[in-house]
Amino acid sequence: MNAKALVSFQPQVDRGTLVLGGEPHVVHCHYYNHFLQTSIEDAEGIYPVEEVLVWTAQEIAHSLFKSLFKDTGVTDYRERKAIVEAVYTQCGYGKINLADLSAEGGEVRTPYEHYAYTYAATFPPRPKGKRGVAYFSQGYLAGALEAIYDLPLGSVGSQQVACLTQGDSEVVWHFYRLANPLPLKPSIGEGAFQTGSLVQFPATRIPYAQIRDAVLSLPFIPDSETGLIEGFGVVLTFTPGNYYALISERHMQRMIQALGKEIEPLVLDMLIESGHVCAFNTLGGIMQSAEWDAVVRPYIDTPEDWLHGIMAALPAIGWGIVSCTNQPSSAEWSVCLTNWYESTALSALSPAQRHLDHSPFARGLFAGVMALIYKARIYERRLTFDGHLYRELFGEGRIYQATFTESRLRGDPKDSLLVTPSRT
Amino acid sequence: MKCQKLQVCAWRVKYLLTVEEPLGAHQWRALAEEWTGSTLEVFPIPSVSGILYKLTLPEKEGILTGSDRSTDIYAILLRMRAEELLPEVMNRLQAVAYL
Repeated sequence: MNAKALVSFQPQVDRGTLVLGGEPHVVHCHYYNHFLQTSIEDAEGIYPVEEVLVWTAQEIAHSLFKSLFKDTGVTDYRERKAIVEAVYTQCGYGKINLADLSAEGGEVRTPYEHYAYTYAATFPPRPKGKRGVAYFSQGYLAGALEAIYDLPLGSVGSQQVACLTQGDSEVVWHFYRLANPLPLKPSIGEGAFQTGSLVQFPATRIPYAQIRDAVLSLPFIPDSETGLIEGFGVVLTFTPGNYYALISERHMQRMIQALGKEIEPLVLDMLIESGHVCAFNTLGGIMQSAEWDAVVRPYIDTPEDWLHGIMAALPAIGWGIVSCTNQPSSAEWSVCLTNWYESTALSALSPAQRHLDHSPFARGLFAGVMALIYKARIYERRLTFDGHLYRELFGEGRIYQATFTESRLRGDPKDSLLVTPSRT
Repeated sequence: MKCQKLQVCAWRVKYLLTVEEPLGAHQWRALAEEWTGSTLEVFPIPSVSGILYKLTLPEKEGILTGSDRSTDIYAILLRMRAEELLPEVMNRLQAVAYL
């Protein structure tokens, strides 16, 4: 069996998704991953954040690998482990060896794990004694272990016991069987998905479909030694979109449970900011890359074409299909989101199970893209992305704001978003 | 040749280097042949008829990426060696630019 050959994303162009093991995956960079995770982790004194960050990954990985093993017909434990190892690397999470795991648990250690490796390389050291940053992998491997041995969801507990961010040379997790299962739920998979098509906007030469197809064909190949994916100058992962959507939603719920409804605007603002950071680093990195120069730049005539170009690329990174509803300008950008991954994930929950009534990530993201075009003027000068530029642009707050004029999470048939300058 | 630092990111620094004309296949090949231990990968992008080039430097100390469509070349260099490597990258690009 060639495990690597069994592991490939299935692009669903009519949904703007990349599916593996029944789970839509989305591309994000380490800046976004850390910003969102750290924002949630900051609440560790308020509620046990592992129950959000670790358990959500465990639920998703359990469903993902159960589905993958069923689809491939693989029943041998060693072959199943090889598939998990291959998926782990294919998605850019790093390199792992599961040989020492059994149905009773065991230990996994690696010098290469996305969150730990990029944190250690990017940010100042964490205070001594603080737990490691590899929450996602911890839950993901616990869920994978359950699936490998056909164990019930929630029957494996886990702990991270070493981390690069603490000066350790490896990330180490322990896994063990639990007498009392964790209260976990199977993943929502493709959620309440929508289908649609990429609409070619008439007032631009940007060829939406060709750009989507070009981005789909780009080689996001993990490094053979580290299993990490470098692209556009950042470090990328293919992560189940449900993970991001559910940790955002669950964090909001836990914060409101603990501190009351007054905390909602603060949490919401943090989730919006994570999208803003993503626009700045991931999409900004894409707009200043050889890939962008080859695929999009030859068709750019106006500043607005930068918006069209980035919209055309989004389905190829699994975020859904985005269409302009009128010609954008510096005063207004109006978009329709089809199968936006955060909305699709949360729409699969009953209204009683969710608190968010729109995608905060999208609000920050599209506001951030507008700022890159019309404030930073990326179309006429190359930007140096650093804290200085971010402070210079946004030191007094976000320049643009985005609001959902229609939201599937409020019962509307579609998501529509309007981006306008922030009121000063 | 123009040079601008674009991003300091994890263990890499990303620079933009602008040459006078887009480098063609023979120039990228020459760069790889002259730079012992480097590896050139060529990725055609059929839907837009473009070609991407990616040169991995020896010991994975950096990556140069460019396309047949643009005079811009991105040098993504190991952060701890970036300042040493950058002049060498620029010299080598300069040397193949007029081939």
